[in-house]
Amino acid sequence: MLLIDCPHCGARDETEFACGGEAHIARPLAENTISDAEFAEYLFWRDNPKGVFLERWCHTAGCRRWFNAARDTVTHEFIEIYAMGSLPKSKAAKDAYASAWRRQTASEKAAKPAQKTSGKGAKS
Amino acid sequence: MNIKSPKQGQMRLSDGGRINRKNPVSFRFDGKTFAGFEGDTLASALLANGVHLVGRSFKYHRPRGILTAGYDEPNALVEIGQGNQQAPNIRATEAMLYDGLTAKSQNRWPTLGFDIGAVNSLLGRFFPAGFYYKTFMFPAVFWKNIYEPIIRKAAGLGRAAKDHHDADRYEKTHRHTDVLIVGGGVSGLMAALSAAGSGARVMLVDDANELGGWMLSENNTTIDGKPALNWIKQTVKALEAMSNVTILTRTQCFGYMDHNFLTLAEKVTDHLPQRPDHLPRQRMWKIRAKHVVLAQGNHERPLIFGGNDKPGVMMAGAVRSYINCYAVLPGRRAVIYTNNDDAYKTALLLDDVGVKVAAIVDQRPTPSSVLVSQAMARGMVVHTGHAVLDANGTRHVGTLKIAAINPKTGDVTGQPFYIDADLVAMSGGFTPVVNLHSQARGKITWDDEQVCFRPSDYHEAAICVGACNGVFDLKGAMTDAAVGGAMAAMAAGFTAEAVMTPAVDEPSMVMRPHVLWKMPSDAVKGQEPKAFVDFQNDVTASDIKLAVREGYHSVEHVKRYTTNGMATDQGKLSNINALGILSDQLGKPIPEVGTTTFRYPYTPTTFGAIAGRDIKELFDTERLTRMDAWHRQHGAEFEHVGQWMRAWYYPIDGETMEEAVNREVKKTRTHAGILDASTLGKIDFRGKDAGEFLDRLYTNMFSTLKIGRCRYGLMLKDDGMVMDDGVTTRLGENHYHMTTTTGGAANVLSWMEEWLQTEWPELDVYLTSVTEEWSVTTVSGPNARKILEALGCSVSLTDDAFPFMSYQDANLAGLPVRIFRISFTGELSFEINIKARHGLALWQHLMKAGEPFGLTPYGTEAMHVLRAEKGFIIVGQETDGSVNPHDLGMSWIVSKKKSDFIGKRALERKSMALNNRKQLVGIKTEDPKAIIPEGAHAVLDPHQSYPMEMLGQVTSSYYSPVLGHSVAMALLKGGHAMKGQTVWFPMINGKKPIKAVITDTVFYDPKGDRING
Amino acid sequence: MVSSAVLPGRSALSQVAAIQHPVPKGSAGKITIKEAPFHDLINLRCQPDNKMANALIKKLTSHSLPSANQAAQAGDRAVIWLGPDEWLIMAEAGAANTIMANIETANLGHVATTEVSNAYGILTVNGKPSRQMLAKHCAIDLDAGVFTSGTAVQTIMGHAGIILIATDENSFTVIGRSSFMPYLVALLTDASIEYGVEYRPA
Repeated sequence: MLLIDCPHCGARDETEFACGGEAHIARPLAENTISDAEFAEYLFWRDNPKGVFLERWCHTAGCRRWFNAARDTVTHEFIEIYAMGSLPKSKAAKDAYASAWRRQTASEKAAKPAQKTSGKGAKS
Repeated sequence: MNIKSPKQGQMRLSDGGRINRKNPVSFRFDGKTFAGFEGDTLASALLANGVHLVGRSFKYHRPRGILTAGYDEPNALVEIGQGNQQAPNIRATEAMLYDGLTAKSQNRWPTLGFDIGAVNSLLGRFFPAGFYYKTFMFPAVFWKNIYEPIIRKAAGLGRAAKDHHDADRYEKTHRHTDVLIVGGGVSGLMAALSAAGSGARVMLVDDANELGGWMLSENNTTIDGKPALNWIKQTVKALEAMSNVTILTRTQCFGYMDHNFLTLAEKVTDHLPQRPDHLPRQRMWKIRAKHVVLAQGNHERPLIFGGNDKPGVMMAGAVRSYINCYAVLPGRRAVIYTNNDDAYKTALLLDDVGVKVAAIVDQRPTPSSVLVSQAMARGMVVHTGHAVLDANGTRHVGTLKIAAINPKTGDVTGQPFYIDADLVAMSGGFTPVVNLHSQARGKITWDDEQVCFRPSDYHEAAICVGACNGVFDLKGAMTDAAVGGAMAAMAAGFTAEAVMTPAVDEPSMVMRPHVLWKMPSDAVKGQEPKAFVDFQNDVTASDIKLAVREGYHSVEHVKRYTTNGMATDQGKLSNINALGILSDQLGKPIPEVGTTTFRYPYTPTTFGAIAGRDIKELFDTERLTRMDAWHRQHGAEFEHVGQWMRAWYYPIDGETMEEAVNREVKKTRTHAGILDASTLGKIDFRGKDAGEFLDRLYTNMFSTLKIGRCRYGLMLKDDGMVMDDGVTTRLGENHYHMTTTTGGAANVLSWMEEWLQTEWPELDVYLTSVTEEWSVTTVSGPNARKILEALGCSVSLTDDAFPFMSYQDANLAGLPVRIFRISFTGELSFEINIKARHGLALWQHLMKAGEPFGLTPYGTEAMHVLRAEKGFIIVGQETDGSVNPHDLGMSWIVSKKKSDFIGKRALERKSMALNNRKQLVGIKTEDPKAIIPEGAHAVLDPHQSYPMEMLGQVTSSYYSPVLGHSVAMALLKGGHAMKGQTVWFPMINGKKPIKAVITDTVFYDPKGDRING
Repeated sequence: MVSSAVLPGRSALSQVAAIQHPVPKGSAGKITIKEAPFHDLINLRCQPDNKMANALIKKLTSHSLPSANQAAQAGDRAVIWLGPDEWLIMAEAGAANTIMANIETANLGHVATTEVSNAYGILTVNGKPSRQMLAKHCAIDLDAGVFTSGTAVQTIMGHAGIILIATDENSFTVIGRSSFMPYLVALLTDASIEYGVEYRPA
């Protein structure tokens, strides 16, 4: 069972958390005129890398706050935990962010600039 | 030394051992009564009574005895206890003896001595590796009725208790520690001294009844100039006196998971004759450790020779355990068979206690050490460069066939000769216990010098020390452990120093085994005697060779094909021997062959310990409303809605469910009904952007809602599918009150928090769950207004003063309440929210005031009928995550003005408006009494051939006592355009298909006149 | 504003009767569990750096807003940290309305109060083996040197979410959602069988 360092409550068992999946998915606004296929990149497509993955977690049984984490999916090591709405600072996590296929998607390009680094779009 | 009186076992020495001779106990094995002492294990007590044959093997039903003295025992598995306390597959070497213990041997029928299944042994040629795969193949029809029952009967060893109600109590507990030390031998004790000295919280756990590990079995070692046992005693005492040290004995660490989460199984009362009610039999500890020290020592490896599984063949170290710890002689005439020096200690000890050592058979050509010289000096016959080829004897080893071998190839070079013996003490070398280390994804490396795997890289914050780390000499191990303990404490954030290693005197030895992976044999090829590698799974050396010949070259494939290293044993003794044979067969060195994965649990653990108290009424929570006691007093039947217990219906005077529900529905429509709706999710919205947030959450507008007014809303996921619905009321400028479905309450709240925190952090909105702050009572029906008025309501309830879809604060019966005029029945309804502590009082007031007006309590079933009559949907019943608002005929609720809301873009996808989507319609059966089962599929032609073309399925279906016919809703492909058409619902079990017509979803009061009473 | 004005009504545990298990030989000490009913509870939402709000709370409760995992609990009123922008104010019965009105009318910016007096039940747990007992169903590090007096966490007890507060070395306050309270009493008294336990309803 993972031990997850909630940025507010400290280290707690995995059972107190919910994993929200991939982070930094920019939400294209409804008025954007991207195609259905491009919209699907936002709605359905999720990355599943072997190695460093940027994902969102919520401390559901504690402070109920969401945060971002860079986790190695092979070793389960949490490389970095960082605030919602910010980008990671460690090199491995920054590389993971930059190299994610999503950075090149039409749906991300169609999102508001602010949403690309923050939010759910900012689901960051 | 003399043997004690025959009352106690005849193989018991008159003194010595760590048993309590003041407390003799009696026990039963296979119906016979025996005597033993407190401090015995079942195994030592059986051996003291000369009982070696304790079980039959898994596949061949071969007679099996006691091989080891610890938890690595593969053979001596027995059933212990009776009735609902019977437990199977207990290792006799671990079971502490108590007065009245009752044990039975396993896997034999009708008796241990005469076992029908042993015929398998004669048919051994027909039970080779992969037997199951080869035999139970064709024809497929045989599987269910012929093969499966045979396999099931043959599989497994012990039997679970017939009485499934386990009489014992089990618990779980959590513990955080700075340093967890697994293994309480000399290494574990040294590590604990170093770690504890730093002030770190230290846990020291050991599977045995007392700390000391293997040193308890040794008699010729001194520490600090005194017998090693003195040092152990002093050290344990010192550790026990430290408040930062927790010691657990009879506690096995059986799992090592991510982030230093480890599971321990503590046998709390297994060893007691009377298990006290207030204590658990076993306790599972869930440990979170900052650093872990693995000091589990090593396992001694068997040697592979024909008949090496016969009762009387034992591990050499175990023989010392039985003599030194339990004062038991495992035999009277012994042969030592070894490939290293360690077994010479056994030879010397046997000689000390008067057992005749008939010979020492040493595979090594020229062993030379102090121990060897000592053995020779005592006149023991040492056959160097020899091997045991076969062990004969029916139920016990009797004669050994021995011959000289080529020490390099293992080929037999000399004429075989025979020696009689009733005890064979064998030693094939030592394997560090890397199992937990490996479970924790630590890496291991092959140590060619010591012929074993030892730990190399760590994945978790852990360190292996002592023999567990491949350091086999005592002084080295103690130093390694002292340093390891200090390093662990430092890694946990403490300032630590390794304690000094005391002076140690032990016989100097060559531990390195001389290994022959090829089994020495003079038999004709293909007719070698059965030589066991994995005793528990009955895997022989020939099985592994056969697997290789049949093309299984991967170690993982060989494991599965032969079952070597599987089951509860997990290859504790067999792993290296199997790898060795495999490497020899493949012509590849062991590191290239690789190892298999050590699985969880490291040792078998009871389901009871894993379940703990998560059973029966504590298995899950049952959430109760504040009116729960009233419902129970009034005979309500309950149903689970999520974790909530909701009143389902209230039968009176022996009514059936149908009768009760019909009465409740009719009475609500004609007079008034009262429902406990407290379980509805309720969320308080606060903040200047609350309206804006609601606009984004719901498909329709809420920022324009007037204060004091309510609006129904539909919430979608971003894929455009319906997720929840409910009524939201504006209480103030920046204050809304949202209701959600009962089951969806928690999900909806976290879903909204997710959007607020991750997508729209700029919005100033605070959400707080108030589900349980308010008890909610709904009064519905034409008399609803009169009842509230009769009770004394501080506000006017007329349509003008209190219109539909509005809310007011009021006093009712002198109690402050929030009244919402909303309706889920189609009748005039008031949803009265009151501070929960007064919920029951208000309910009782209403019942009393409502009596003259025919007020009837109704449950969730009548609520469903009432809403289905009106065509009101229930999210999760009419919807399943693939239904959008258009499918529900609710396009009217989807705002076209708003620039964005969750699901808006997805709703614009072409596929969301296709007219062949499944759409919600009403269904009216031709036979008014026919009620279509929910989930039934609709077809146009019930006589078409299979597979029928299905239009969709019924989502809700009830009998309407008011309308006198059934009412149903269904999701049908293109349903909206099919109104008036006939559809059929084929039934199973030969029942006739039900004919029905597609209608509007609103069956009752389509104009909605009744909403105003 | 609808409040709990008509007091006291029925508590969250009014449906649960007394429970007793004898103190067995060798027990580390008896556990006593009691319901502490009818405290007023207010959920406070506010940004931690809101100085005006902090000052007002101090005036109303005599406590500054406590930091993470802490409860300020001396005196009649307590403030418990629930999250970076969320606290629970505990006050004597009937006090909620005044406290809330003070906060709501003070023009403090993005601040909200919601009364939750009825939404929770409160238990006090006393006895020498309290920590050992609570650890059976709670994964938090309850070591006396770590979970010191005044520590407050939101976590899981068995299958229910709770707020757990250490009031002194052997005493705890357990706050749970009111519908979970009968389960929590059943769970904690069961976990106390090893020591002997008395559950006293209010």
